[in-house]
Amino acid sequence: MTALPDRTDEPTQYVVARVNEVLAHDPRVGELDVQVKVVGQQIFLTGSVSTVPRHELIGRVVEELLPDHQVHNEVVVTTSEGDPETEELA
Amino acid sequence: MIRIAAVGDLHYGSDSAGTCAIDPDEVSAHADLLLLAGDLTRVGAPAEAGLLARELADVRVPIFAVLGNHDYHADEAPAVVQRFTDVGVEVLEGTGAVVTVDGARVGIAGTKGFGGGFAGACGTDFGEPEMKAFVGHTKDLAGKFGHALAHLDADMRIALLHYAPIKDTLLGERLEIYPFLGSYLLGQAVDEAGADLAVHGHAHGGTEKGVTPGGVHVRNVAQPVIRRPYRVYCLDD
Repeated sequence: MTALPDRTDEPTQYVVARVNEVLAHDPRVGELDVQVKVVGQQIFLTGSVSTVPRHELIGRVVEELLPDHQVHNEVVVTTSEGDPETEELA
Repeated sequence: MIRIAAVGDLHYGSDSAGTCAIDPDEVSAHADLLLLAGDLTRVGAPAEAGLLARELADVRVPIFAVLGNHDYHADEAPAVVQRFTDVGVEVLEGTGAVVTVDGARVGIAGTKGFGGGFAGACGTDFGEPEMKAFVGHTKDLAGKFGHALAHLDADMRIALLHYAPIKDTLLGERLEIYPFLGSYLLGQAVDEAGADLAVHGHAHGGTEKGVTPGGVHVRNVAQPVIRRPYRVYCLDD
């Protein structure tokens, strides 16, 4: 009989894919542009989102998904302050 | 001199109310028109579109937009378009419009566009129906967009896209995802019709400036790239 897969030994790239799927499809999130890196039991999230609440939510959703991992939420909130800057095109 | 303000990928959600960095008074003073390059919402909910639309309602220059992939996610694109139309934003999809600025006719043609990749490393509408549908969608949108761009009765032409028409402005993104970020068919449509400027969004990790094989200026105005409320591009009329 084929053994059921042991999720504690899930290959890293499948963990990454699972996190990306959840961040895209969780109705609270809907983000496609978060990069996920798994190093042992640590997960590093990078990329950018538009708002502070969305940044916090992403970290929370990944912690819920993988409670046995340490989540490093390094996603940045896009800054859109300052002068718009003008370019003259010849 | 025609001043074109442009930004994309605002990704407005229910948590975004009041965060719009586009100041209606400032953009109305700094620019002659405002272009929005898609992904205006987080998941394509009409309520999200309504939040952004309300914040754009006081802008006093013409606003043109295309939708992005996020704006289709909830399968409510017509209602999303309606929210913007309600406040005077013209949403383009395979269509064009002409506005007169200081006596000059400025034409804008737009499409969301789609993926497929770039010459030498792109998908082909061959094999399974799903593959034909994928590439066929890009061909269909690029064809209608190119026709609209070519038939603008205007002194200058601007292409407004969500997906990228060239790979120069993807620099910084991972090579593996280029086929999901744009298509050479969009760039070819721009070059065949002729344009003074093409703007797009979608590639958050990309680069602002590029040029089509035919020599048209391309600007990636995704907000994570430009890190400003919008950019202003000036064209001689």
